[in-house]
Amino acid sequence: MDTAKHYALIVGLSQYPSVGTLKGPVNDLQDVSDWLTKELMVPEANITRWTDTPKLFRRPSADDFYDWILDWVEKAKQATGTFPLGDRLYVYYAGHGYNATTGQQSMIMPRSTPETWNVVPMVPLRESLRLRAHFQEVVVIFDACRDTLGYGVDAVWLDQPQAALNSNQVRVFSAFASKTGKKAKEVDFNGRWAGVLTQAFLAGAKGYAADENGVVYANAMKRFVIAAVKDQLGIDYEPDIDDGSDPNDPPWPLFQAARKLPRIVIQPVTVTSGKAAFRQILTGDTVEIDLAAGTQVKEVPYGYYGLTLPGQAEQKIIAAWEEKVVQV
Amino acid sequence: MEMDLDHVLDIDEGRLVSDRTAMAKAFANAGQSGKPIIVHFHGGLVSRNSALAGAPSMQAFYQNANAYPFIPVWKTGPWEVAQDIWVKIAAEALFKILVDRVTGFVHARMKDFLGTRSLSMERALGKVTDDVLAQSSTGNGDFPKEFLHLDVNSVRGDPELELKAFQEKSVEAAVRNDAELNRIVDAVLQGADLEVDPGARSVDVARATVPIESVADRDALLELQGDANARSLGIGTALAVVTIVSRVIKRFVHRSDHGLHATVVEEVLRKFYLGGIGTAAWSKMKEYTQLAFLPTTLNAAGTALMEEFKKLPPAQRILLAGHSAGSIFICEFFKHLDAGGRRFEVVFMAPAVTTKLFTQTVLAKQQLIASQVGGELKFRMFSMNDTYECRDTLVRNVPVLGDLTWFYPRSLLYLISGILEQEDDKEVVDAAVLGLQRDYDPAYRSAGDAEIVAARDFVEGHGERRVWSVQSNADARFQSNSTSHGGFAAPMAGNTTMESVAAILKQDW
Repeated sequence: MDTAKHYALIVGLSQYPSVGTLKGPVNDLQDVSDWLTKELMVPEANITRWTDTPKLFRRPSADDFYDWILDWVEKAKQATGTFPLGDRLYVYYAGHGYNATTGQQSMIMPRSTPETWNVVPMVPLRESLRLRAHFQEVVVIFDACRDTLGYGVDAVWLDQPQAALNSNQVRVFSAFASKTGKKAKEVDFNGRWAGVLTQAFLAGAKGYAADENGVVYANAMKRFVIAAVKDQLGIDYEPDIDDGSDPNDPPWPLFQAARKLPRIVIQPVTVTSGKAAFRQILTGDTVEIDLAAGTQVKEVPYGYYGLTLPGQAEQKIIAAWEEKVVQV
Repeated sequence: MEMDLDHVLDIDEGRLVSDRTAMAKAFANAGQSGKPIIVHFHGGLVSRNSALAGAPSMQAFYQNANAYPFIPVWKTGPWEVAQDIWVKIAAEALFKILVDRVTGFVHARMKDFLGTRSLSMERALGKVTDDVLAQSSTGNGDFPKEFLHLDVNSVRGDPELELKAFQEKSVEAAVRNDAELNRIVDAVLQGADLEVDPGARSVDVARATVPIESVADRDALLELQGDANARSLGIGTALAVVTIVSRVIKRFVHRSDHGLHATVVEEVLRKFYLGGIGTAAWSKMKEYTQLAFLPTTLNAAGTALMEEFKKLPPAQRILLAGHSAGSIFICEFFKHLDAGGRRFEVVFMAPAVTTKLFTQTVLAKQQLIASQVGGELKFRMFSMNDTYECRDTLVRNVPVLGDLTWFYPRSLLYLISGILEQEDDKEVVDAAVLGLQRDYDPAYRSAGDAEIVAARDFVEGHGERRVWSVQSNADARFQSNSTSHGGFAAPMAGNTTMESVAAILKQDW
């Protein structure tokens, strides 16, 4: 993976005069930026960052996205090759979002008011990039709400590119923070607010979704992020992720990172004697835990586990984040 | 009912209507008795008839404390019947649905504020039923966390909580499509003979079939009708709801809320029932206490009292006791006292006077409060601690209905603070009231205001000057077990507030 040929547009918007302020997107932007430059070693020059622009907060706007696409179009004219501009393009957005009644999920730009909307529909933008096939891979992360606004405008996307001959070879990984009609969440991560989808994605990319060979495949990333979001927000929350892979496709390696194992810390508090059964649900592998031995730490691959205490029904545990404390 | 003119003074709109000569004779008797004199001013929710009916037992209670009592029965005017209208408001479909909808929207805003990245205000709260409201009233005076699934304390004071244009739009869109709410509004407008134009209704909202009579303010309904006809019924209703939701949220931002439940009720009342809830009546009652001391008032009762006090032997103790609005009467009394005159002992029970009036009157003339040998002033306030104040359901013992736990979850003092205390030139919310312990909290929104600081220093700065019920004490003069606003001044054995007053009369301070 030659990350020198990776490019990114990362957008984190916290200030919206007509909508309200978010605490997380600017932090998310910083985290994604750090991950790209310090861990993936994507060249600084390959990254475009857009964030709040005081005092009027009128940028970025939909026009900036069109300009950004036109810039790629101009560069592509000067380039050659099957995928002339690079191996991968990241499009990351954290901020306010919504679904129009047609189900079209959109980024809302800060200049929007209920009378004057300025929005960018994410899927048409993604398709604009895929159809041009400037890049071999596109990774889209949309950490914003998708709740349906009855009064919301159904944005028209004014970019209508001809499909490049190899556009069907472009692989696309898309992660939306919620299913259509649902909201995205940001929470306090140890005193710092951030988007749950973003943090789950970064955790997976940094190794928690990696296999024993240090590869994070797209399908594993999908499973990991869903588990991590559910663990953080509850079983009712589920991100909407397309791993870009059909069943017969070869695995798509997204990232390389040393494998990290989540820790499950079992603390006997009220049940302090007897044996508990700790089971990996996917494989059925079960180990016995002596509760009288006090607190025990299990480093396990991410996923779903079951803990059965003496005389009780099995309780589900999700392993995804660095550490999960389970008091029994 | 025949009055005992040796002890009862009949006052109507500030005028003494009982016999002035009999009053002078009674005070002469009091002076000759050598006993401590107590003048007990009842609260505002006590009607003249019930005050007259209760006067003998009050009189007997104080006589048993070896005092010479005077019981001014002062007519508090329309305020006396406020409770009757509260019962009607509480039963109204319009009131109930507004409380439900406003609570839902405010909750949605708070929930979104705590970490969602959306523009909308989708309701996530269960229906605010009578049972839910009752649970709030009988618990801690607010919706439990288990119902809200959030802690309102975590959003209080954050200016970012305020509604922005998109949230207002979201509320507006939801209300426009709220067929149940719009049907009730339609019915209420019909019931007030304020029918909307046929074209004001959406095509999918049928005209309400049965008009509803409402005690909502006519001005508010006229505004609703005007907005409905100018735009549509749905938008007219939406504008009103947006206003209420916005006000509730602003109060959380400015830390002037009284919890979610009480604040929602107060703001619904402010928008639609300001007349019905008794704001004008409350102001009128206060005006009567002022009239009692004006030279332009014929037979001004307060002036007559001052004249009689001057005739009493200088060493004779005079204790002025005021329950609830009775404290306002005493503050007006202090306002008109001569600086060099005699001194008075003061007991307040659940005083409904604002700290503003208190500091301008009693505090400004505190040299006229009698003092003990050591110089400590003879002043004591009995009031509920905030836990009990929040639990004290406003409307109780309604025939057939019992306690209206679903109407307003907190005490009368909270209602006074939240909505009844108004000033001519500005809208007041969360007025500082002397008997509300909350106002003495250093975290209170106006804790730094000069009048609050002065009142706090005077009352809280001296432990012997206040008893926050429930409080037990080996010394019988410092007890209170009152857990309801009305309970403080009940002259009966077992009411340790009144027993404390009796002990003060018997043992001195």
